[in-house]
Amino acid sequence: MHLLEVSGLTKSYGKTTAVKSIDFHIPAGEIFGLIGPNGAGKTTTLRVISTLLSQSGGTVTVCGHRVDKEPHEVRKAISYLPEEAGVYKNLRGLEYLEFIAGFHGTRSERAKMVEDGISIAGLGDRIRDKVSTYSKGMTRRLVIARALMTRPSLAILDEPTSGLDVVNAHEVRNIIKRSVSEERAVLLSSHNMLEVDYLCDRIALVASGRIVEAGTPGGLKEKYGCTNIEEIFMRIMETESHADEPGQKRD
Amino acid sequence: MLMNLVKKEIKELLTPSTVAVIVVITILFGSMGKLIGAAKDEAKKKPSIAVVIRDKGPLADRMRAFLRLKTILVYDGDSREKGFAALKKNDKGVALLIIEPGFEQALREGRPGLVHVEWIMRGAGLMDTISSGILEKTFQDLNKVISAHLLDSARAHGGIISAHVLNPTVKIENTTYKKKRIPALSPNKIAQVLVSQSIAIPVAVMLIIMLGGSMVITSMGLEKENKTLETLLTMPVPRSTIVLGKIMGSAAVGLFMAAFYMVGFKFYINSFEAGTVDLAMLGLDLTIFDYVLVGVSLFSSLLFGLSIAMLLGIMAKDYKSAQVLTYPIMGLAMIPMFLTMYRDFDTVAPAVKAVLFIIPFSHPMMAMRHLTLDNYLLVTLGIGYSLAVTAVLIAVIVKIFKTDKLITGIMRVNRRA
Ligand SMILES: Nc1ncnc2c1ncn2[C@@H]1O[C@H](COP(=O)(O)OP(=O)(O)OP(=O)(O)O)[C@@H](O)[C@H]1O
Ligand SMILES: [Mg+2]
Repeated sequence: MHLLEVSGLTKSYGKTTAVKSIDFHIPAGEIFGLIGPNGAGKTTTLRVISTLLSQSGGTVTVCGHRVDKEPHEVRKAISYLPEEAGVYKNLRGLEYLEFIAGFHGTRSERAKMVEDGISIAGLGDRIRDKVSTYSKGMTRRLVIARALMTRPSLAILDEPTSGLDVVNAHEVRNIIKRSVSEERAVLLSSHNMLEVDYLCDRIALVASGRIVEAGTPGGLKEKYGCTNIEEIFMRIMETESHADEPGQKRD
Repeated sequence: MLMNLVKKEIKELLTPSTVAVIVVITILFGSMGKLIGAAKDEAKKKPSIAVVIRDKGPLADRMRAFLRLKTILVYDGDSREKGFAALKKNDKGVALLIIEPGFEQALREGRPGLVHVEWIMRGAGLMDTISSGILEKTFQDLNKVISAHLLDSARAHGGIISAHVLNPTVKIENTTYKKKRIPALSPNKIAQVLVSQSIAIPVAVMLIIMLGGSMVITSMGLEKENKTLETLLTMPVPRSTIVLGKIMGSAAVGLFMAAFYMVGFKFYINSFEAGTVDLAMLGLDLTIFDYVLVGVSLFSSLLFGLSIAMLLGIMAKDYKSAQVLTYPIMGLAMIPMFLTMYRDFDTVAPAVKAVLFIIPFSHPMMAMRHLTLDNYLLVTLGIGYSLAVTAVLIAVIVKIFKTDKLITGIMRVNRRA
């Protein structure tokens, strides 16, 4: 069984249709990456899967539970990291991890979660400081820790390494890679082509709400005769821009 | 450059929601004056009284003539019981004035003339005692009439003129307030004693609701501004738990602040409330049970206020818009605040009664006054009503929490429509 199955997913905001009949699935043990230009519909797709938005059409199933029918069951299975996730300013880093852990598992599981969270965040003693004193990168590490410490079946990470420096981004990638196991999977979006090449087992390129190309990084490189994903991205976008309608709005 | 900035600020501040809020508040305040009722008219009106003048003679005739001129006599006869009954039946009746036989005789002999007054007090609001205030003034004028009469007759008959001529009477008064008869006090004095209930409580309730309400709205605004809401909404908890958590958290803080406020206000009131009259002596004190009921009433209407705040908070996009959204709550709390300050529930028109009952904030404002008069029904009804409305509101909020509205925003949908 696939951990995530998305079929015919469509999502409109009023008159704008942000996602137009997207299909993909993620089996356990896989890291799946969504790439695509700004406003392509990546965040919208992730939000529907995370039960934050209702779909306009199609079905999304997480661990056998449909997001529109059993959102609560889906929420138990996932962990969503929003693209600009923030933290309550008056909490200390540690308190925030405890707050999130409070929604999951039993008492002893929570203690373990927080322990894991502290080590993933890697903030040292600063974990006891107020979040309002953190830099952007430190906050990002804290929310990534929060998302992964609960050991979700499906982690949904919207641009997980955005805003991180080279060293931190590298570390976070390794953390994400290690977090995947036989029964867990990761769905992420990214603008960093090296990152998806390194991290993802499969990628899908989204443009104007549609998946225009999908496959393994190796397979795609072979298909297009390119040495890196960025080249493939540019090639596809060039052909797309001739075919597709103009003027996508950014939010 | 400056204009550029100013233009941007105005654009940011004058959103459709801000404008809507301002319009609603304007309408609310505009209609409030009408609700409180024409205070000025009332102040000009003659008070309605009953008189039982058993003394016979020229002074009695002169007094009767004066009272005919200055008041509306709903009864003028010999029976104290009938007079009081007539007064009670007339819903504007203020007092029964009794002059016993021998009144003029006593005055002539240099003794004070006894004027018995049976007041009927209909409410303890600031405006409920206007008519008794007017009547007090009329009684002062009546004293002057009596003085004049005594001087005239002294001159005519060559009698003695003693000092008491200038202050010839002694008033013996009792007040009937709802079912209680309070000896030796006039409605104005009782209202003064109850001033803390009339003013302090409505003000305190309004402040508590505003504090709590703005906390909820701000919390929602900050969740969006700090981008914490999306994370919260993907946590595996029922939406109702999230909604209740926010409301209960603010309720706790609101009540905590309220307790501090009340202590402060108690000292403030004590400092100028003349300590001469003891509420317990008047039978107007409250039992512990009454205080608990007042607390429950306050809490239930606070819960309502917080749910309304939550509903408004859903519209808040950030901290700034959250500030503006507290105004409707303030407006809604101010209506009963002013109404209950000026009027008792019993003394307002039926339409105003309905308005007061419908706004749950009224109930804790009125609870203490109701309870001093042992009117438990209104208080418990108020609590039940507030809780019921709150339950409905929370159900609506939870429904909205299950939609896209929190993420996509409500205004955006409107703009597109
Ligand atoms: N709340 C909203 N209301 C209306 N339209 C929206 C809303 N959110 C997103 N959109 C539109 O939906 C489309 C897809 O947006 P989305 O945020 O999913 O893109 P994205 O692929 O995540 O882009 P980016 O790489 O910039 O994060 C865009 O055209 C955007 O303008
Ligand atoms: Mg995005």
